[in-house]
Amino acid sequence: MSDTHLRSRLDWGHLSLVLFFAGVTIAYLADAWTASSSLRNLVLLVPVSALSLVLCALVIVDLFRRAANAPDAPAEAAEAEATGEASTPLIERYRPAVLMALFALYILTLPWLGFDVGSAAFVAAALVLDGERRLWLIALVSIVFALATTMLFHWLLPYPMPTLVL
Amino acid sequence: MIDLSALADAFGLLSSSWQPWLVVVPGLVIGLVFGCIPGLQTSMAMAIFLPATLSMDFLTAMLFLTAVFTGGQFGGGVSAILMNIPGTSSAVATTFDGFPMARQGRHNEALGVALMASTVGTVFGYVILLILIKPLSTAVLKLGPTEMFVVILWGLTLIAALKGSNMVRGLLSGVMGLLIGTLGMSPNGVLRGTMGSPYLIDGVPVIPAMIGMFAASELFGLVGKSYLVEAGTTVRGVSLARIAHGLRLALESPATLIRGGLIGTLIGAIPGVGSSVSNLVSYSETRRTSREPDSFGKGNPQGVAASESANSSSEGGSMVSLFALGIPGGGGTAVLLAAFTMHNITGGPRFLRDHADVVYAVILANLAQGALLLIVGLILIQFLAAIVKVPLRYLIPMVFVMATFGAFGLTGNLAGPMTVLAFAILGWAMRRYDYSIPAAVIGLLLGSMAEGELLRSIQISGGRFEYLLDRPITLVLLVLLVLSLWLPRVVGKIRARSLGPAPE
Repeated sequence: MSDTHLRSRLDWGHLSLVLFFAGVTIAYLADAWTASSSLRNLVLLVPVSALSLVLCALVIVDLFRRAANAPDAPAEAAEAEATGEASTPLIERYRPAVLMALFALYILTLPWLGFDVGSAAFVAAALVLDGERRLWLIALVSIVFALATTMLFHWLLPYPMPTLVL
Repeated sequence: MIDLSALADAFGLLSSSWQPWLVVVPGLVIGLVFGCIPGLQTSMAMAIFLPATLSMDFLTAMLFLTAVFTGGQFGGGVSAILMNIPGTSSAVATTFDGFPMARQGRHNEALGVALMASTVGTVFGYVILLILIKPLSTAVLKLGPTEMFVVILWGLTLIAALKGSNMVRGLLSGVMGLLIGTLGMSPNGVLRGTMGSPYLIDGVPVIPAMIGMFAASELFGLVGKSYLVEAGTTVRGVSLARIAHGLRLALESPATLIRGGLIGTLIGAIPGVGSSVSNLVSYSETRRTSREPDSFGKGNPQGVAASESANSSSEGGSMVSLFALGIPGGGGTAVLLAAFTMHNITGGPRFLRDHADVVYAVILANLAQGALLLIVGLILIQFLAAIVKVPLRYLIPMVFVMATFGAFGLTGNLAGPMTVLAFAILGWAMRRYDYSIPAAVIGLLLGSMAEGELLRSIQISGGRFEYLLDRPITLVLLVLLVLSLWLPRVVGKIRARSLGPAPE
């Protein structure tokens, strides 16, 4: 088994997630240890972190073993088949990612656009992404919903809420 | 056991004026609406409407606030079933089978089951409270941190039960949740893992994180699908007949309701644990003792009944420590305690002795509230369930926006929405690679609780294991925990042996 074969079959996305878990565990434990190395601070953290790292190692070993034993079919096709994405068009596959980006944009721009304008823009963009093409409906739904929700929460919440228009 | 003369006085208090009763229905409606809106907690509704009780007398104020409490416990289940978002943390286990039922087009039945289980649970919890408040008030005093730690461990064993299809990955999600749950200021005052952010001092905001993992991450995957309810168009509507069928369906499994009621009342009575744990324990116990454990998580009505009966009955349980000790069991009872203070009343054994009639009046009124919930719930269910008629294309962005508003409402700053975003992306990645989301959420919920109780146990015992030998309740709880883990395997083996090889 050559390195290139192994590399092409390895589930890199999954490996990144596990390495992220391991990284978070190590960083957290190191930070906690620096903060205080007393028994009381670490009595739960050390055993749980150790368990976390052992589990991460188990998953990583399993990932490499699977990659080494995988049949010759290209890894990408196998993965697509496993997740039932083989027959779906490209736009369908990337819709979740686009929605995620839209949601991130919505949250990150809240301090500037405010809850009123930001929410209306997010709802409109998500409707377009999901295939809605009637402009009047997009405008109606996004504006009415954003206004109603902003006003409701404005009334309910005891603290100021960032808004642009209201 | 029951102070009969005080009980008679309580009847007198409640029947002398109709005024206290005026606030019950509005209270239930507020609770239902708040519980149902993702991100808005029942305790938050109680807190927001707390100033409104200033003009009421103490009994009326308690009736109003407990009505919000009762409504909220069921309201949380409505969004759990219809949107897979536990409206409150006590409805987490309701999503496990409630949402699969909704996706199969059985949302009416699921709502009926939840409503009946909530009603029965509420009544059950308060009946037990009525009978046991005096004896229980002495028993609760004996529960120390070691007992609490074992109860939390019991909750944590759920991680194993909810591991999903891959045990190592399931455990890893649970462990990661546990670690993230302990971020921030530790119980002994050490600041850890905050990366210098002042928003993380109190730890990761749990409810926004839960909304992100449970709901938002799921919504990313739902984009492009047409309806929340995938079955034929005829079943999308609200049908009272089918809700009624759901009500009956819940009554067909009385053992589940009673078990949920008992677990809810017992766990609810322990301060700090409450309904967010009881629904999970009840769900897992019901699944464990079921003849068809594999049907759970795929739309088994018993799963909904187990969760809803437990979270509703824990309300009655949580009143024990409030009335008997003056210690709030959770967010809801914390607000009730604030209402005590507003009316210049101090909870505790003395309050129970001097004002037993008021305590019994609150209990009796809540029994009536349980019945009223059935009626108000039936009327409002039509309005609440209208959500499933909205095409998913409109629902997805709306739920995202509501979750964002709700998360902002919970934290009071943008840390809430940011938490939703971070955990939504993490949850999406975890779902993609088959990591159990419920396991991570349970770890997150119980992480800091477990650490706090473990620390207190060490402090109180001086680090000596022999201390446990002097704690019979801890030992009994430990034995029960071990039995609950091993008994099903033993019983399964015996059953398999007596029935011969099971068909694959």
